[in-house]
Amino acid sequence: MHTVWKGAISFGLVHVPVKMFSATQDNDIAMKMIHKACGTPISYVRTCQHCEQPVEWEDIVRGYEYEPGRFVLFEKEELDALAEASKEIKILDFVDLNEIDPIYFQKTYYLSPGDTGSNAYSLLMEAMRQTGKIGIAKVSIRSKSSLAAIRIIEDCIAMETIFYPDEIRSIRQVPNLPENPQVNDKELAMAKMLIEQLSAPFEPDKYKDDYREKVWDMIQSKIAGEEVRVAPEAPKTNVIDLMAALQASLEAVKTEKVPADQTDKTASKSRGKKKAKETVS
Amino acid sequence: MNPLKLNPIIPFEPVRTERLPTGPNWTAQVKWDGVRMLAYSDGSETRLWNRRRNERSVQYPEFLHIRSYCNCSSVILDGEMIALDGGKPSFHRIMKRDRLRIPERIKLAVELVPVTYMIFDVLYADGQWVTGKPLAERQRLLEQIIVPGPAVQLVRNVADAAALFETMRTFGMEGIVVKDLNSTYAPGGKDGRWQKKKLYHDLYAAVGGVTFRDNIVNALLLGLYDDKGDLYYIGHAGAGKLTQADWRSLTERIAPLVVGKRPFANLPERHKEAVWLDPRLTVRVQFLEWSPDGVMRQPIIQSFVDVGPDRCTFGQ
Repeated sequence: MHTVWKGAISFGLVHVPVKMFSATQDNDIAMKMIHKACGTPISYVRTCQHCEQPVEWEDIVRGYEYEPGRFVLFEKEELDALAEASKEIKILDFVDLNEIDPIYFQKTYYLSPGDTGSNAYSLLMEAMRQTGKIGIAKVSIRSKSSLAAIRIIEDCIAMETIFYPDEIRSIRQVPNLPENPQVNDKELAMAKMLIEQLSAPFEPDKYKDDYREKVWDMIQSKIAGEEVRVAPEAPKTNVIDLMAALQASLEAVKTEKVPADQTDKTASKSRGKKKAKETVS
Repeated sequence: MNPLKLNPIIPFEPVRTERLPTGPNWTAQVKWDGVRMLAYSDGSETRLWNRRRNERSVQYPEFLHIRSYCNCSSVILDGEMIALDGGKPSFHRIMKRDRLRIPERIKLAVELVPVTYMIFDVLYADGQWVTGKPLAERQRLLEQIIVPGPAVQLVRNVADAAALFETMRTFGMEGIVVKDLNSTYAPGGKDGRWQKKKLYHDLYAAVGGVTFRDNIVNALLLGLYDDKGDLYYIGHAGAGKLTQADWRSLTERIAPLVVGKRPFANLPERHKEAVWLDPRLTVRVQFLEWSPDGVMRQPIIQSFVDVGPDRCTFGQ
């Protein structure tokens, strides 16, 4: 696994060097944007509409739009100076896991012992396991500062970045939530029984991504050259249609002509010459 | 004898005519505007060759399963590969396929640029040369051996050449070929046994200069070589079948070709705004007719082509 960050967990006077790894990955099938006509991947160019030319990264700064069309600008160094790039996961409090609603969890990282300090790591892990507590920490990675929960997953210290409270939308914003719902006792009993019947231990391996599997199958078929035919939306003009149209037009031109042309054809027929079929192609 | 072991044949070419021959031995056919192609098969393997003896098997893979359209143990077929655009054959469009080299792109192109093989002659069938047989008989043979389908068609005969020519005019197609039903097939030949009458002319020309508008090339100054090797200006053409993207990419391509000295022996009317080029780029251009002062009327650029400037001659 690829190390995403190196630093240390700190709380009080305790200092635990750690390395950080992404705990999850996106298995969605990635596709490129391709130009239909020639099969070339689309490329994107950063351009300025005013100067009508492409722009290099070194000529780009960030700006905050405080009014439509008006910006206050920031060089990267200015923003970096504001961030406390202290390279530490600073635990502020310890709480119980079930006090944190899953809505707060953003992204999970695994932490492994840093270069010097596997003793401190094991100590922290054992202490947290035995007390059953979760650490709430402030972490600054690159120039972004986040809130995080430090907990044990199996035999590994893990870090969940969590949303700041003002980033969690209030339930009150959801429209049409029933207030004081009246529920029929019998129906409630049946619903509860149904839930009991479907109850099972959580086995995530039971669940599959059907759509992703189907896409993969189709990709393999295309690669193997077994063309997967999708019904065309509209029939395109083909040569047979064109030939039919030419034939029709030819008949129209012919019928306008003098009968002398007809004699020509019959004359050659009477000579016993076998002519190839007379249609237009 | 295995037809695949032969050196590729140069197909027979019609001569140009304005007056249509009359008589019961003459038949007319649509002149399908595309790429001339000979299909060679020994029963197990099929290969395609164009009129310049360049192999094109890779570009048209859908025609290599000859058994699907020809029930002959060994054969050499003559026809035209065409691709439709706006309902009629387009040289520009077939070039999109003909130009490809990368197998993945060709595979895509089989679906995106569908091609039809318009077959009009057979030179060899079931172990025998049939070039010595009259056209009428070769055509009867084609009827027996070819199984037409959406991608393979037989070009058929029309008795009334004038009517067919008018139909070509109505449909904006290239023209007709009138053929002597008694004639044999002469590989590498070109004479009056087949005669073509086109609604417009086309030729290969070299690009000797360009003009610009808003920093993008907007017209090409075209030329042909005479037998002394001098390049003569024959007209300028804009837009045509080229897209905006084509013109932009062209603007980049000509950059290394810019020269100070005018390559044309004569003076084009736009010489003041022209940027002269080393005439290495070649195009196929279609036009209505020659004007009295030797310039093309209504030239339309069909496509950039891979022909050498040495083929851009008055005698082509």
